[in-house]
Amino acid sequence: MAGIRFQSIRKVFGKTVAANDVSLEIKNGEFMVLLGPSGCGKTTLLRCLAGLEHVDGGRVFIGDRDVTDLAPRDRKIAMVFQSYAVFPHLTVFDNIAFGLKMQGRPLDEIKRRVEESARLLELSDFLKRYPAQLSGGQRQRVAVARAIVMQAAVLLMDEPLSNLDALLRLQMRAELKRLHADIQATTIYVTHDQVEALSLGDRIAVMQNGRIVQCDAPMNIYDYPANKFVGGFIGTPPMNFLPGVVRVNGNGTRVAVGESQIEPSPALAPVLSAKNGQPILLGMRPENLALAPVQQANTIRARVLVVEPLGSHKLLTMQVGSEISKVSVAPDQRIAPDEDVWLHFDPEKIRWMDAATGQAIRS
Amino acid sequence: MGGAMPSSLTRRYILNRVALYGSAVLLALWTLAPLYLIALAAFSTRQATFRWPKPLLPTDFSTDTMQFFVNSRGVLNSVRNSVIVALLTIAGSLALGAPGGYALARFRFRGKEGISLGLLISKMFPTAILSIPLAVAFLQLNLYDSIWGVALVHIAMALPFVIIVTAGIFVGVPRDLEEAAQTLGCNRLQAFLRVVLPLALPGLAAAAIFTFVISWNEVFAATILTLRNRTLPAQVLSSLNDSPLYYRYAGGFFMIAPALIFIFLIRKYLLNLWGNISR
Repeated sequence: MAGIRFQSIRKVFGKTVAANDVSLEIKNGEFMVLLGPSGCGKTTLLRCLAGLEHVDGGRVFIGDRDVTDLAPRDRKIAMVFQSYAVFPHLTVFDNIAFGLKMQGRPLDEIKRRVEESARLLELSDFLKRYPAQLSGGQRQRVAVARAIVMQAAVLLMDEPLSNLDALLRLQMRAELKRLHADIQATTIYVTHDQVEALSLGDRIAVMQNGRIVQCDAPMNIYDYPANKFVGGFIGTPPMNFLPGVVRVNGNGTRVAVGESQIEPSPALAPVLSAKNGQPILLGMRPENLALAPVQQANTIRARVLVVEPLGSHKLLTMQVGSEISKVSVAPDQRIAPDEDVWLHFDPEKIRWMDAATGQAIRS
Repeated sequence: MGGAMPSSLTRRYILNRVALYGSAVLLALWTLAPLYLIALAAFSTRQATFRWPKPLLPTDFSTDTMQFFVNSRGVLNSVRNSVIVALLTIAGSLALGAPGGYALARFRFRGKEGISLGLLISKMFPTAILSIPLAVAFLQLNLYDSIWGVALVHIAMALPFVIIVTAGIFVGVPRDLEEAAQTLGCNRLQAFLRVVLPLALPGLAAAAIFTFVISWNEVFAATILTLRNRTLPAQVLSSLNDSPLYYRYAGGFFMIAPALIFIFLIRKYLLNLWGNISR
């Protein structure tokens, strides 16, 4: 059993605080993705777990062991590096066997396990080759094979797909997911690619400026971002944000957005009514906006600026008041630039955020 | 009108190329001509050395002159000394310098820039100024007129070079590889020995050879600090005034040849060492 626990981790580089009092618990066998823009501290956190960085504060636990002061080799982890870090002077076989040889395993066991993980990653035909004779994708597989052959309870991956081309990345992503289902190791996966995060993670921890701002299941993060940053970071294109003002009168609670009035969902109306007269942000995913032919309840006037046919859907860039919004519509939707349309907001899908702090307002 | 512009451009381009290659040829001649003349004289008969005008082609090839030089008194012994001193210099300067280079390449520490600069500053002191105190100190330490003493001085002279060059070599080995080895069960030393060292080896070998050349060619300290246990340059220098012309040619060639061959073999690495990053 090897769950992982970060307890108030702090790591400082000069004047930069890379990890600021980060606490996170990862269950045994869980696939946890650390997601965030570059410089948010996600790789630092991973390296603190691997023992490649020494924490300036806090403790790291793997299972019940406090590993904070242990060397990397004593932590029973395996790691895949962004650069792959495949040893250029060793053959594929010797690369994969490296860790087992360091453990002093018997030769027949090494051979058996290396061949097994090579088979798992379709490297069986390349065992005698040197890394220089492999493609980038194959080198990446060697790095993964070298890590999983250790059968460590904890598998760490630092942006393992970021150096692959788009097609290969798609393929490897699915393979990594299948691999995790097979080997069931507790996995921490660092990426700045939100699609990878959504696709792979049992849970995603979104990081910003050395802190975890939200940690939840992928669809919860997508549907209920904890703040404006998360909503804007996850999703392609990201969540749209429009400014509004809360108005409470005899008819109930409304939010004025430009000329229009939006009625919040019944669950949120009481919470919003407490903010009468205050500015508020309205967050909406592009696929949750719909075009309406005529004005009706919960619609806003918008002008089409750009139409991008993307095969599975059309992506519209729209001027809404002074803001730009992205709207995703069906591929057969007839629409042209410079058209004026009505945008319909489904109250249940609107995510309200505090205009000043950007924090989500929940019922 | 339209055709005039390109043709004048073309002419200028050609002139540029001619000037460039002309300069390169001149520079090459500047270095190669003396080497050629020395080699020519070294492999002619002894009498040919005094002939005038000198033939520019090897008309009377003979190993007679070289044999005379090699068999001269003290030469073989000094060659042996030179080789021993050079090997000691390689061993000593790499043993001390490579860890220093590794530290400069891998670690961030206070005063790192200062140390890098300090290494170069140590090259500013001419050996001539240091030679008298050195000779006195060596006399007191019983190191005078011993190849150990000469090796010690050569190690000191080679160290800044070895540290700076090995730092460049170790920077070239990605830190990721070392860290990967650490996650796979190595401690720092094992990671260095199993991953960094094999990858740095060609560069380290080049540094070793260059160190060999430094020591092999060093004449000043070797002359001041020895009396009977001469290295080859010191031996040749001390017998220069009272030896015939052909002895000097042969000695010159004998000293140039190994340096030339070694530098030629490692030229690729030397370009890398001096910061040619294009691969």
